[in-house]
Amino acid sequence: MVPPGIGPVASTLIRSKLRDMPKPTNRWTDRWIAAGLGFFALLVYLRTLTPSLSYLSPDGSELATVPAVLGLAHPPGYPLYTWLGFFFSRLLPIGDVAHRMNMMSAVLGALGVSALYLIVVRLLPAERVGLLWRRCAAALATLLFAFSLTFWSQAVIAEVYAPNIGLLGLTLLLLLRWERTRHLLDFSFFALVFGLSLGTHMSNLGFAPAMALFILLTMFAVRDAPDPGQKVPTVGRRAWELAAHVIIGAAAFGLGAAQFLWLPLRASTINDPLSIKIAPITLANLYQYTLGAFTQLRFAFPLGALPDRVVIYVYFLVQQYGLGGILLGVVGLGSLLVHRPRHFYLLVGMYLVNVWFFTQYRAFDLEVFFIPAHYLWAMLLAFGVVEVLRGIGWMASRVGVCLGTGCLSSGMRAGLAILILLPSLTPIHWNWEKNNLSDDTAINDFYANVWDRLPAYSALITPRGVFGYDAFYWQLVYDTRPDVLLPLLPSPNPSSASLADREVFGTTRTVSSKGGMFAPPADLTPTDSWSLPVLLGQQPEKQIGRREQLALYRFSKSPPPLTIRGASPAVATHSNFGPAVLVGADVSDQPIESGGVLEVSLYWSSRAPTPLRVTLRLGSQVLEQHEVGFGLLARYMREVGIGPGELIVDRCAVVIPSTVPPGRYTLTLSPQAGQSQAVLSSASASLGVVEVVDEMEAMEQWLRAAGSSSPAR
Amino acid sequence: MAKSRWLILPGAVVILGMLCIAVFSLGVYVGKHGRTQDGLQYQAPRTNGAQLPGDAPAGGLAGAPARTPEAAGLIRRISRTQVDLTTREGPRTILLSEVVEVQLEDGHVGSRGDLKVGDLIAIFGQWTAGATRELEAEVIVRLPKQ
Repeated sequence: MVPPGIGPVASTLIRSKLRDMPKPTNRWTDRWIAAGLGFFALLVYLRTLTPSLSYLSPDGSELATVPAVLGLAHPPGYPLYTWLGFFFSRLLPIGDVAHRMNMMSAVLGALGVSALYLIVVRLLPAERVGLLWRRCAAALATLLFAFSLTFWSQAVIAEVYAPNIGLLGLTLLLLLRWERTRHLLDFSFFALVFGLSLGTHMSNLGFAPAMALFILLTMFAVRDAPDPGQKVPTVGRRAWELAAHVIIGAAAFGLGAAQFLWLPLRASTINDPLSIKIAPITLANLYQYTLGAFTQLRFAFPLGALPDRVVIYVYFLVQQYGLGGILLGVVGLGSLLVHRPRHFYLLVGMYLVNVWFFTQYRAFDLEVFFIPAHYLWAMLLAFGVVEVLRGIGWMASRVGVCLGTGCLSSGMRAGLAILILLPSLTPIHWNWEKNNLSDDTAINDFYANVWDRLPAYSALITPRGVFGYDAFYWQLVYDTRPDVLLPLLPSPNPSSASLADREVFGTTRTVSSKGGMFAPPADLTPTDSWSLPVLLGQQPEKQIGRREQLALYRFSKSPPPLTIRGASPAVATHSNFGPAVLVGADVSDQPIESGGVLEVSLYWSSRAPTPLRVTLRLGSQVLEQHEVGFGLLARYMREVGIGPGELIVDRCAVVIPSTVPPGRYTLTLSPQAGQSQAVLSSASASLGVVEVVDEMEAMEQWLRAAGSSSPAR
Repeated sequence: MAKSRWLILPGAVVILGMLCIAVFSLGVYVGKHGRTQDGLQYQAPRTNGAQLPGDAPAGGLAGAPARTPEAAGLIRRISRTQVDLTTREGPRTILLSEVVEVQLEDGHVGSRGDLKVGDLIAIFGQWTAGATRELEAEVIVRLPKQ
């Protein structure tokens, strides 16, 4: 196999290289295994995928919307994510656009999982254990990462982090391919994909120094020829080689990074109050929008706070891999250094940059920023597993048991392989409940009914910027109810004149002076407006940050009808709730489609102005919680008054979640937890039986509510 | 191994450094918080003004915005244009706008004159645009003395 005419030293080097190089058949086997692991991960992600919009990410609704309309996301803009999302939203004929964007996270996340296996199995040292055990170690590390708490949570929603892992894995694979071939073309592919990966997360740029060091070490520190048969290059030739790589690499990277020229083209679509101040229409603003974005969040902690921040990171790492995974990773660090020193500087360099930067980053969804570090830790973990297997083999040989090649039957080898892979099932079991968002339908259920109930030519006030996209999504993607004005959609600072002659509704009644820059401007509606909830949605079970409960308010200048005289409710209860007595209720008696609304009127006789919060349940499921009088009672009593014999009436529509199976359920009202013991020990009232039917798929309902002929459908 | 020694030695130092930093941090953490999870509360939730639909429009501290403040700490120095705070994360300077509102701990409206060195305050405000982003206070809430 060694070409003739090569000296003895070079011949030895080439032989050792040939031994290390994977055979073509092995390479194909590994590709199939990688594809299988990625496919398995994809199946689990799809099974737990969010059906449509979700609050699990603060920017999720924006990132589900912007790609479909080729708009511009919040800084740093994410051009590649936007373009990939555009193709997913157009090409996948499944579900709605938000569902397709969630699927993009699953598919590209699974791609990153496959890439992880290929990277690891290529790097694990052949001299330590046999091929089967290396494959087991690589597969174990891959599955532990695939179903780790944080990465999995991002692979089932519309966010940039799972696609970014896909791009990062591809970048590393191409870099390792170049290391093997040393072809300039492979190097340019690597540089191009690396440049493109900035469009899924700008922090990838921080990996450049470690990659550059690896490239230099590979070009200058490796004495043998890259391929058997090639001459060992001289120093002068290496210098030329380096110059060619720098020029070609810079050009390819620049081509990838040129995606950010997209930003000025779409700057006019920005409606976020933060982003609009740095709209990328000048070079200075382009810098501010990309590399200069969120500077106030970087290195935001003094030296004294750093130990706590490091421990927070370690805590995240324990959440992903457990203490055992940390120990295996530490062992793997040493193994990687000894057996693959150049790769040590690449992988550990990348890892340290990620950890160093983000431990000092002030973000409330901090855990997601460490996903690349967890990805790299999985590689270390695989090295640790190999060392443990090696140790077990050594100990077995000391007691006279042979575990080497040829000693074990194929059945025993398969059994041992399964034993090694078993721990990878643990995170699936542990994290399934936390990451299963397949029943997260609250936002779509709510908005489908909002669009159904808003009067013609009304206006809907929403939060500004990224927090408003749960409403903007429908009009931007599906052109839903174009007669309804969303004043915060075109601009974060609309004029109150734009609401003239329209009935005004809102999904928030918190204004900017009370709720920060993402709340609508304080002067958009008169400060003395009354805001009465007319539709209440179920609160999404899983969300990040604090969001207002899903509610549709009707704004009015005159007091709403909070009281009624001579009511004769269909269900008489006379239940004593402490501060108030529930005299009775009217509940619609028709069967209700899941995902539809239940009309409820509660009639109260109040003895004291003490606030009382109540919970409405359908069976055991909480539908909504509110304060009697919807928080308006004190003002109403002050400005209007409650006459003798008048009852307070809470009248509104409540969304029945589309996840409620068909059946007959008891509707009950009880005091909400967290109040005084006297209130909590008071009565619960049964308001009758509600029949829920399920004749239409949730997605079908949402798409019908979207009601558009948009090509995105 | 011999030909890679010059690569391995610095790498070993890196690993040692990583382990030392981790162990040192854990030691400082346990010294500060004990064996609890108190120091792991890294989330200051970004909010869109979270509020329950049944609630009265203003929740939380009397007069305070219904969201997490952007900063909180003890007043170290106060001038017409800015206030210097000692916060848990270190010293911070907050700009004061002309129209900044001051709320006292009892819910009454106050003025800048009510703010004294040593007072514990919470700041609600907005970040200024530009490269050197600074927090500009819109509402300052004076908190009860601990």
